[in-house]
Amino acid sequence: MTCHSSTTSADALLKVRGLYKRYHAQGPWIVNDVDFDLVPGEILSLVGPSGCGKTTTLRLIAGFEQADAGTIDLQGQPLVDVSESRRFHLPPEKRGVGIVFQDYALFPHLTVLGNVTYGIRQGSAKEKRDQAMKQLEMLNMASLADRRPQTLSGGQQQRVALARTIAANPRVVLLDEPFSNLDVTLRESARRDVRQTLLSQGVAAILVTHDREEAMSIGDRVAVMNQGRIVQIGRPESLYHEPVDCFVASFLGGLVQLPAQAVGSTATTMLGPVMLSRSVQGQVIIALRPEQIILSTPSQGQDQGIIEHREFRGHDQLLMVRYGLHTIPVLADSKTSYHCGQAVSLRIEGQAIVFDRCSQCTPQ
Amino acid sequence: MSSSVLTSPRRRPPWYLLTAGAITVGAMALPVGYLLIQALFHSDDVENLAGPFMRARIGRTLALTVCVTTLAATLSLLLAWLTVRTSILASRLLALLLVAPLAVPPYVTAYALLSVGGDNGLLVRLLGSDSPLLRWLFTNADTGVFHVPRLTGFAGALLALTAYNLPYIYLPVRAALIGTDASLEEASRCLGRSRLYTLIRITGPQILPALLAGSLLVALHVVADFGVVSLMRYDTLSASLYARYNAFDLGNASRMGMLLVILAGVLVLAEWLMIRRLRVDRLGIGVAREARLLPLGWWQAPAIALCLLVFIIGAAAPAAISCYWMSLLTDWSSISANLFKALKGSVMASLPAAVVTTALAIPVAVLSERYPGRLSAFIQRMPMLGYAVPALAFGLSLITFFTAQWIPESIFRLFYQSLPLLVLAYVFHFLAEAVGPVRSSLKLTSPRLEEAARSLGSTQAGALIHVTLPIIRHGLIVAMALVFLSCMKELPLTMLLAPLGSQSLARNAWDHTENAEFTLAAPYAMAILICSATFVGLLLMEKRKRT
Repeated sequence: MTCHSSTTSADALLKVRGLYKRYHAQGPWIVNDVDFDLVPGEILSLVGPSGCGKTTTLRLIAGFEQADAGTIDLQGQPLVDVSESRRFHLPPEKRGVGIVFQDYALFPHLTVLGNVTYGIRQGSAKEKRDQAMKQLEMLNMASLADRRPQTLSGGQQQRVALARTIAANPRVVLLDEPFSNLDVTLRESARRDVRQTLLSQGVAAILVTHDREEAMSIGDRVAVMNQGRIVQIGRPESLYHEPVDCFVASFLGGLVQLPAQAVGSTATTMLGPVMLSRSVQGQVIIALRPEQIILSTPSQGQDQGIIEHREFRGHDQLLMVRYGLHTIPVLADSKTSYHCGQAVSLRIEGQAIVFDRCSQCTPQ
Repeated sequence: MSSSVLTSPRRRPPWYLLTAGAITVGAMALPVGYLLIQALFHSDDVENLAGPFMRARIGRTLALTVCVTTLAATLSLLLAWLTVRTSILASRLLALLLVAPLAVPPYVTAYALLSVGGDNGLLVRLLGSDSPLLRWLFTNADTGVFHVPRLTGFAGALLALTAYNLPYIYLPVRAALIGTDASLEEASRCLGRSRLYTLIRITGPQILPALLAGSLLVALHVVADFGVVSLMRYDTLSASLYARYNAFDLGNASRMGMLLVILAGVLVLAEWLMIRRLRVDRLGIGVAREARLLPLGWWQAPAIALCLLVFIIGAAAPAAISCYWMSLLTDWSSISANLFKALKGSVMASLPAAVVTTALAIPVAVLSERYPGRLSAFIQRMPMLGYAVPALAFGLSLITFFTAQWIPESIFRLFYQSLPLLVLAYVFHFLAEAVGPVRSSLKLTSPRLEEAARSLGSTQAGALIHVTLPIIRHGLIVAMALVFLSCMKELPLTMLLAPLGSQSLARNAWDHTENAEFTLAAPYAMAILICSATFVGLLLMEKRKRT
């Protein structure tokens, strides 16, 4: 019932199948039947609210926690294989899985260069050094090679952690909320840098985050987790525009829900006719992204809304428009001036979503 | 998916940590257990446990324990209240002075106290034997014989032990008193209760856990004390055990060892039972409010005098008296050779003990910090046991264990009357001292660092050696220093287990004092004082850093 992307498992780098984990014998499943693939060179974002099991999934792949059931294969080599008859866990150091921690976990007793050299196993001392320096140069950190981690800024520490992980030549890199300790102003450039570095080295990576923008901007694909399960996995565009349920829809962006009368693939709403994502009949609730609702000047014979509240936000403005019993949020451009009490009319652009199941949905 | 697969195992510690843990448990529990069995079933030629011989020694041990603990607790409460809650002048300085007695081992205090009296003692030397004051005080009215007595026996032991042990209660009680929330007391006063009633009913229960914990330590120290009671010739179980052991009466020695272990066990159990029923967590939110200081007025002078008196008896006088006797030394050449020998003997035993203890503290600390669970909680308690078992009983248990019939000849030869046995005894007696700093520095190290090392290709042991240990090296050095200094000033284990013919600082100081050779004892006492003061300085620095 999970919606997988079209990737076939034949060309997968990392294969995760039927993964289960809980911390107490009778406790809830923290990771509950998780399946997914990672293809070479791909960046997959694992996103969900805190406590959804995304970090535990990451730690199971890295080998810091032991799964209760399931298999994990990397390039055909089993990392984890737990079934009734078998209990196999490859030790973390033999997995070839690199990890960048939220707090970076730089070794405080080693220099920046010492940290990056630590994971390089092959070659003479000089070769290791050269390789580490090359990695630092790639991230523009060569000038800080002899500094102690304590003297670095958050952004610099993050780059050193990434350099250290990649220098060890891992087969896959795990990133555990690597941007959450950074300044908001620094985050966007750090995201670009990390994505660029990973792509240029051709290393596949899994990024764990609770930030939807981060997940969608970095990930080639995004997996949304909730209560231990992967609810949906796919390209960010398709998740955003074709979410399988309310949870994914509202987690990845703003959502406006309206009652509608459906006849096949079209429906009538208080804002006029709308195309539906699938055919249904009768009274339904449709979901729209806020940017799908367009403001227009009122014309004759059309229902009209009244602006009830207005928030100016710089790049746009948020208007709360009252339509009968409903208050609908509308994003308008910031140049036109609106005022409370003004009459406007709204129309819908594009397809509306009709969910086949609606769990944990809080209607607005 | 069947449920048998889906049971979550706890993270299991690696075998080498468990092995080290098992060695710790075995080395603690086996000898002591063997001593208890031996003492119970060794039936020929021993004193009846309920007979007058044992009763007298049990009685004296109990009397001294109760009196020292009560006196130290009462004084500590008073002094803590004076230095925290009143307007006493220079309260911080006084608090520091009150901790100073920690730096003077009780047998050095006993040495100083003993050397004051006597016909050739400090008083007579300073005032002259024809001093009218001394003549008036110490001439027997009936016989007209002039004799200056020494402070010995119960009174001497009480004074020396109380002076040394006072900080063990004063420190936690003071900390608890500083931590209490003044608004609770204000609430009590607003409800119409007097200051005294509030002190007993409201403040009292809040500092009771600290008082009990400190008192337990003091009681354990007194039960285990050998130096003071032997020098003061107050024949408690410890003093008697040593005498019997020296007279090759192993039967009675191990019976007294058993009694000491039982006594210590009862004390630990009693404290645990009392503390279990207490709940003094703060309900309020935010930072506890500080109490207003009570103005002392005319009581200022006596209050300061009391603090100074404790400082003088516990620290200043022993140091000054040792200096005085040392200044009387004339023949330095013969002394220096012996002093060097004793110093070497102490270092030879203390240095390996410090290294081994710290090495063993690492797995114990790693187990309890990184692999919490019932097993590691059990292993973690073992060092406390080594600390709580009275030193002489522990030493004797090691001797009886390694001289048992079924121990192979080669092991017997290695351990009997040899340095390894002494080192082994030090290691397990002082393990708790080393685990503390190692654990607290481990607590400050993120487990992420070890995980990062694992993901970069290090094995579990490799991560421990290359990442964890270098990061906590400061804690390791502190642990080593603490154990080293403790071993340097340790007396009872040294007396019982040191190889024949060897010398050590503590042993020589004790021997010379025992023979009333106060001048000869002085350099050893001074050397021990220096070690001890360094120890306390280090401990206080660590404590400050941690808070």
